Amino acid sequence: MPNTDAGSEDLRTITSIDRLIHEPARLLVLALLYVVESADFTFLMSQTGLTWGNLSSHLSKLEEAGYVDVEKEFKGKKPHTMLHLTDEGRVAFREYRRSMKQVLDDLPD
Amino acid sequence: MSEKINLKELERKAFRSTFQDGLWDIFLGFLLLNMGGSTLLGGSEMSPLWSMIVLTVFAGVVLLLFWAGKKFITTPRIGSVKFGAQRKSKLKSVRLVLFMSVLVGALMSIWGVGSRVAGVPYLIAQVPLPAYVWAVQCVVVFSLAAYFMDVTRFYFYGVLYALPFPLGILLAENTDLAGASSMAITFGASGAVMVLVGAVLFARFLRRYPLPKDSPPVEGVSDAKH
Repeated sequence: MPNTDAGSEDLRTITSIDRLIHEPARLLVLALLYVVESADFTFLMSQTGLTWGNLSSHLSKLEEAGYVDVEKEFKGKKPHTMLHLTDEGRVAFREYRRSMKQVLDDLPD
Repeated sequence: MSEKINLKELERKAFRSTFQDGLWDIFLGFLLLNMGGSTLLGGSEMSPLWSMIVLTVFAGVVLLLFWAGKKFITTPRIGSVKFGAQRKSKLKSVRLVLFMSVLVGALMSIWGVGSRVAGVPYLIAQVPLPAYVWAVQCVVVFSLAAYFMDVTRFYFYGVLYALPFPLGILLAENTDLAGASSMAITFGASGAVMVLVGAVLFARFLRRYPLPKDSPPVEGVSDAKH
């Protein structure tokens, strides 16, 4: 008889996956911000290949969720915006990795 | 985007992207050309003071162009990034290696000067120790930089920096060329190769990363229209 408790546990893991992070473009942006301290908009554009509008839209969602923070600084006299992951974003990304690993590792071959 | 995301590789790729513009290659190549030029000027009729002024100005112009290239060409195309603690620690190691290298270079200069003045035994003065130390040091320094910075072509540059000095001595000993000319040839050839590699990388970089058509939001992401 199949272990229904384990099965429902797996399903719960799948349904609890953070959909905000699960979107491929946002996942890539978060992964990039996870491995660096901070980056500006142009750097994220050059690394992800996303367009300005697309990246802006994804970053707005991540900022609204509290995963990404905007840091304003001055380069000479020009204002410059750097983006970095918040502690919440870092935890959420780690949790997403853990959940995905768990779900995918448990899949039968 | 459906590819597996390897976080270590992602960070490495992001870091390496800051070296894709070829400006370091051009800068390092011109430094070698400058060294070749210094041997030529040393053998010319120009006074040592004027030679030093010319070479310093040339090195200054190269440094200024490097800085301007990074600021006005590279950064607007690929943006700016601050790397994490692990990368910063690696860069600190590179700085330490460079510092040690400058120290060894200074000791070799003292040796070079010392070998020309009285007090250094003739036989010791005849050993071209600076040439050997220079070669080993270049290979070690560039290899460590390549390792810590994940820029593999720096291994090759270690060899390009190491060879001109001993090769120049060999060339002078085995041909009719004067010492200054042979050094100028070997340093010039190595420098030219590096500048050429840098120019190719630079052209590829400009094609791959055109200037973004839309300006990135200045006042924060949340203020941007979308």
